[in-house]
Order: sequence, then C-alpha cells, then structure tokens
Amino acid sequence: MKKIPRLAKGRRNQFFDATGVDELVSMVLELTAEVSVLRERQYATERILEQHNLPVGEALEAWQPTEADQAHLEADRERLIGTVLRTLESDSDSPAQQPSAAKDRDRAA
Amino acid sequence: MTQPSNQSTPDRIRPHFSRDEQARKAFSSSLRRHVLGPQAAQLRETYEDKVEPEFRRSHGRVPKDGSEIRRAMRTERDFRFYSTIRTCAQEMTFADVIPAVEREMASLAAEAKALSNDPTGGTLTLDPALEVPDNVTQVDVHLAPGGYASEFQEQDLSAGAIYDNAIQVFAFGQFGRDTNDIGMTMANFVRHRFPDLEPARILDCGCTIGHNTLPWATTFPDAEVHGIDVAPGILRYAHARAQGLGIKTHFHQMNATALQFPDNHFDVVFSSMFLHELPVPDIKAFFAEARRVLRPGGVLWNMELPPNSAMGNYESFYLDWDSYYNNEPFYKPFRDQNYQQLVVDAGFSADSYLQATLPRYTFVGEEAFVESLRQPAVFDSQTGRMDPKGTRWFGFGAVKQQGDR
Repeated sequence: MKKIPRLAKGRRNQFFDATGVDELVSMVLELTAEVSVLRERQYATERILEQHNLPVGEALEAWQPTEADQAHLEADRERLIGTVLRTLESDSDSPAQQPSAAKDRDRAA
Repeated sequence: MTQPSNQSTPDRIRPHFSRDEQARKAFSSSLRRHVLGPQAAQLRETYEDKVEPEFRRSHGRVPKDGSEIRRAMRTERDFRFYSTIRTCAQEMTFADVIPAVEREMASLAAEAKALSNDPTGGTLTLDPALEVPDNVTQVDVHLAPGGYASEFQEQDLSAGAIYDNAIQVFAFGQFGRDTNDIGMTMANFVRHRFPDLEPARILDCGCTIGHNTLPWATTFPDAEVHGIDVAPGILRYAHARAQGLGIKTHFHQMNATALQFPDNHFDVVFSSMFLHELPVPDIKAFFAEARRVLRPGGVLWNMELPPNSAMGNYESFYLDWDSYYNNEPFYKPFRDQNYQQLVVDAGFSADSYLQATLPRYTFVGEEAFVESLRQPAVFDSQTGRMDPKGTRWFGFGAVKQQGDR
C-alpha cells in the first residue's frame, strides 16, 4: 500500500508578487480551520456535559494535566503545527513536485 | 415516473470521519461558500467600480473579452485574495478527506469486493490494456493530489472515495442532497423534452463515480444504463457505490474517443462536466463516436459550462478562472468553441442542435421544472456557476436524424 500524496503535482498558484504571501494566506486559513474544529468540539462538549448536569467552567480552572495528558497535548500541538505549515512542505512521494519545489528555493535564494 | 431520490454514499463504503475531521470538512465548505458568494460579489464590484472605468479611461473602450479583463484584474488586491483563498479552499477540500480514505483503504476495497456480489445485476468491466490519456495523467486536475487515475494498492478505489467525499465538501450543498442534481436535472430534461423517446439504452461518458449516471437509471427504470471512464479506481468505486445503493448500472473502463459499442446502439449519450477536461480534438472524436453509437432519433446531451460567446465578458473572465488556476487547461479552449459547430462537425445536422439553461431539478421540484422548460435559455451570472444565491445548469446536444446511418 502506497501513501496518497498530499499535494497536487506542478507549481503552486502564486497570486502575490512578494514571496510567501500566498503561503501565509494558506497558513491563516488552516489555522482558522483548526480554530473552527476546536470551537465545534468545545461547544459539543459543553452541551453534552450540561445534559449530564455537569457545569464544566469551574472544574476547567482547577484542572491539572498528568504526564499522559501533557504527552497527548504535545503530540496534538505538533500535528497542529504540521497542518498549519503544510503549504511550505514538499511532498517527498511526489517526484513531479520536486522541480517546482526547487524553483521555489531558487526564488527564495 | 421519477422515483424519490436516495443516492448518497452507501454506509459500507463511507470512511469514518472523526468529529474533528467532520468539523474541518464543514469549515472548508463554509469557506467555499464564502469565497464564491460574498467574496465573488466584492470582486465584481471592484471590477465595475474601479477596474472597468480605469480601463475605459486608458484604452478609450471597454475590455473586449474575458482575457483582457483577467489581465486588468490580476494586480488587484481583491483578485489576489479571492484567488489565493479559492486555491486554499480547493486544497483543503482534498486535505480534509484524504487521511480518512488512506486509513481505510484496505477495508474500503474489501467492502467493494463484497458489494460486487450483491444481486443488483450491475457490472464492472475493466480494461487493463487501456491507455489512460495524458489529459488525465499529466495534470492533477482540480488540484486533486494524485489525480484521478492513481492506484495505491491492489484493487484500489481510493481515487473514487476521495472524489466522492471531496465533492461533498466542494459543493457545499449546491449539487443537491445526494450530489446528483446535475444528473437528475439532465435526465428529467430529456424525459420532458423527448416524451416519446422511451430509451432502452443510455450511455454516460466520463462518468467518474457515477453520481450523475445513477439518476438516469432511476428516471428511466426500464433502461439499461452504462457509464464509462478511463480510470480504474473511480470505476471500482462507482460500481461499489451503485451496488450499495441497489441501482443496476454497468460500468466500463473505456475511452469516449473510441467507444467499444456497436453502431446505432444507444438512445441517449450523455456527459456532464466532461468535455471541458478534454483537448478539442478529443471532444470532436467523442462526438463522432456518440453519433455512431446513437440510433436514429437518439439524443446526444451534454451538461457543461456555457460557451464564452453566450456570456458577458465579465462572466467569461469569472468562469475561466478554473482554466488558469485549477489545473483545467482545456476548460477555456473548450468554452471558446462554437458548441453548435462542434456537433455539426461530428455529422449531426445544424437544425438538430439544442441547448437549454435549467433550474436545478432537486431544488425546484417537478412542477417548477416543467414550467421552466417553456422559458428561453438565460445566460447570466447564475448560469453554469455555483452561486450560493442560485444556479442554472447549461446543457447542449443534438439529435441523430432519421435516415442517418
């Protein structure tokens, strides 16, 4: 079984003259998507807790993460950063992507 | 009579999306709705209030076509943001569904294999010797990573699963509840426009996952419905999807430019959103083949983007965005053609040419749809484009004349 590529082959669209602006827009939107995901999860969680007569506000303030919690949250942050910065990565499984990635590096140099 | 539609993805081949993945998909749909709605409206205002008056002052005339508008718009802030956000939304559409499909690739293939044995009577015929054409392999059309013809394991249907799930994000509801509105609208157009046709065999060319093929089977329950495409993964998925929905359909791996069917075999040859992905010589070869396999009195009917010649210059510029920025290099060359001439070149008579702009069948319902058929075609900002405020699909085709061979 092969990995499905995450980027379309060929050079990515660039609409702004300054290097990096298009990628920054992508990062902002990915970040917004992640915030949206969290907001949905938080909203759903609070509704579910209310349904079980568990007002969660005070308990959240008093909560202390365990080592396992910390490891989980660290892994989650790494995934979040990887997602937000996806547009800067080149896809090593997609050979056709490499020339354009090289071009981008040349432009940046 | 038309059956109530229930043609969404069958549960057995629907990958499980986590709560967070579902929320991401919803976000990307909202982003697409925003960029094609309010942002597109702002883009038009920028053109009308600023770019067009400036152009008139500097050139002493209005822009002569969509290409000239694009050149004038390219440096506008609103065009840059509209375009980069649309690109991002397109990329996110695929990024949102690929991980789930990849996780469940093996079990999806196993379910498809099991579904293949269901006794609907539907079939799948693959042709491993078929050469997948360059327009499908050389470009990742729609910015879909891996394109539509890649296979990632034995008996793979990932490309189809990605397409089905991505199109649901992409369409933000505009293709109907079951993403089949185009097929429903076009099949019902043929049903009303040709009440005596009583089709026995119907062919859908470039059918991908069959989402617009199955409406022909439900609209014409007595007809034998065939769908062809060039890529094996999407056809395996199309077959599994039809089997899961219990809709008898025959899928074949075949190139529309070289149909492996006898002369005078079909009553309807259909395509949707297909021609604009083909180089013009392939469109001509397909139409010639369509005419060959149609029986006299049979109908060629294509749902497509409207031609540039029928649209205002701004609409041409707006629709052709995809040709430049969405990896659809043949989109504008197709839209620049005279569609009537294309069917005439294939041997259909000029006076058998027909075209229509149609409201969406699954949105407006039977009565309003029938009423709309009495109206002339309308070419405006809602024709052929996914405008959140409303959409009108465009179709064109021809009838093979009695006495033709």
